[in-house]
Amino acid sequence: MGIWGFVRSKWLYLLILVLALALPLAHPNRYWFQVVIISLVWSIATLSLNLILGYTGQPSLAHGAYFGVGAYAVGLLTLKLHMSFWLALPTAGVLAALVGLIIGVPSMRMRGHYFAIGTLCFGVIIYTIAGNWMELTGGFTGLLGIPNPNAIPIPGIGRISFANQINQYYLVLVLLLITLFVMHRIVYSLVGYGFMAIRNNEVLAAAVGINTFRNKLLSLTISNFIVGVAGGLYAVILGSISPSAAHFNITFYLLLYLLLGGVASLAGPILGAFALPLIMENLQFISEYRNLVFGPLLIIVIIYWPRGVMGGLVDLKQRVQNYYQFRKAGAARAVASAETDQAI
Amino acid sequence: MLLQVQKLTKQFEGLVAVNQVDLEVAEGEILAIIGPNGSGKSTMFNLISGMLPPTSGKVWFRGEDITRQKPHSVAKKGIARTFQTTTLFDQLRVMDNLAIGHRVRTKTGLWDALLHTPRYKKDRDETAARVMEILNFVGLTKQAFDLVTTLSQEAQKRLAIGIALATDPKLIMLDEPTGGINMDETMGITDLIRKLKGAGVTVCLIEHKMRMVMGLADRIVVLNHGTKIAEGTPEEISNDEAVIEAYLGGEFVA
Repeated sequence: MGIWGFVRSKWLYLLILVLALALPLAHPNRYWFQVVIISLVWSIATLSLNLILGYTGQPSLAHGAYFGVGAYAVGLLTLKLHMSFWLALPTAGVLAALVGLIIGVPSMRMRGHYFAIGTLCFGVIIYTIAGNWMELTGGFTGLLGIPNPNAIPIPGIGRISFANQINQYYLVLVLLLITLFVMHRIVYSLVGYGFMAIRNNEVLAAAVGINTFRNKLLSLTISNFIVGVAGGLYAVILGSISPSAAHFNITFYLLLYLLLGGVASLAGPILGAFALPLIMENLQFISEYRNLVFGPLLIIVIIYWPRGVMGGLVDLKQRVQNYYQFRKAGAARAVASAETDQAI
Repeated sequence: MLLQVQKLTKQFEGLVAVNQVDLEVAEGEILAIIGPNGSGKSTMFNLISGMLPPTSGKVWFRGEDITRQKPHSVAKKGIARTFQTTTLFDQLRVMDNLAIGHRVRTKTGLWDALLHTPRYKKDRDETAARVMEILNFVGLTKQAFDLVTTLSQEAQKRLAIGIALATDPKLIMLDEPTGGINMDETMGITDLIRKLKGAGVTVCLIEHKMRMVMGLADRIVVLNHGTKIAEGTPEEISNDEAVIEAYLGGEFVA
């Protein structure tokens, strides 16, 4: 089994999973552990953007705002209504999906760049509301002291408390795995085919009987539910949120993770959401000049590796295979192609 | 009548692209629509398939009024079409293209996909079987796993017909199925169209290659400046004064 065989087999993913499960045993320091946990949250959010942008081809630039809706929903429901976190989290997803429907239905009347610009504007509106509706959101001070997830009682053993980092880590990891499972099931099904058909060619998709509006709305709703859940996790992990959780910067970070990691793959968004925050942390010393690095990097990747690092790796593999095939079959193929040239 | 078009008209600002055209397609026949460039052939297809709303007139399919229905509903009713510029899902493999074509006949929804319900399995197996059938029918079995961008022009045309066929249509409308390919390849596509008829699918096609149309079509409708100027068998059309005047320019020899 060569290296590609290993990558294609499930062993690599199993290895990563085992490493992820064993990570707390390494006693990482609090700061880095927090970076890893937040990266898991970004992974969930990036996977959700990947569904609507990568697989369905609709550049929703309001994702930062939906993330914020989820974050504020969990914050407000647990702080002010004293709702259980376990009920607040799915509610956050549902609320983000509802806001997505309100924004999405008019936005769907626009296509391509216009859809992107339209959703971006709606996203800015939500950020502005979060910053100015003092009574509800606390304005730019935000919400402080969001409680940890309620402990889960287990009969006979005791309670699982989520006051410590390790259990919070496992909580987010489990939700990431569920997200991956859901994405995998969608992408490798006829539902996913419908989404990809729209990304590829909306006119042809409609001509073969795919209700493009309904499918786009379905993809958007699933995507928003998941990004809302990610926002809710973000709120509870940090314990406090401000309108920056709904800022369009979040959208652009998610885009950056997605595009650099690899659009329309399942591993790409996670790769991007882990690699970039880690790189950013290491680039703290250049602080505000970081974007001078990421801007050009993004442009270079889009030009040379339009499908991100994962797409680039697949292309590379294809080229290597072609090279070996060419060396094997080179002579015979050259003759064959010369013959067709003459025929024309 | 399978398809009946009554006084169909499409006006773009000052230009009348299709003007009061009546058209009938009988079950099981091959009907060709011919006419010079800009005579309204493709617009006719767009009106029938729901891509454009007509200004006036009616379209009936199997006794049902389908005027102004959305393209996806028209496809579901059993009308499939191809486009003048070969249109495929070009980031995907050949078999994926065909599976998407068959999507309209499957009922798998989100929950079926998430929970792998019996319906999901039934749809998946049916789709796989139908894709195999069509690959065989259009002669692309060997290229099933190829990306469509690596296919030859002719193979792409076959695939476009295959995608349309995957929707299990009663009527298939082909917009210049042999545009831009050479004589040998044209013969191959012509055989494929005959095979469609043999399989019980009614065909309506737009074509420019006269020799091919004359040998293939059961009936021909001629459009010029958006108006129907003649209709009949290939022999009748090739002897029609108005057609020779308008379209064949007098130099056509049957």
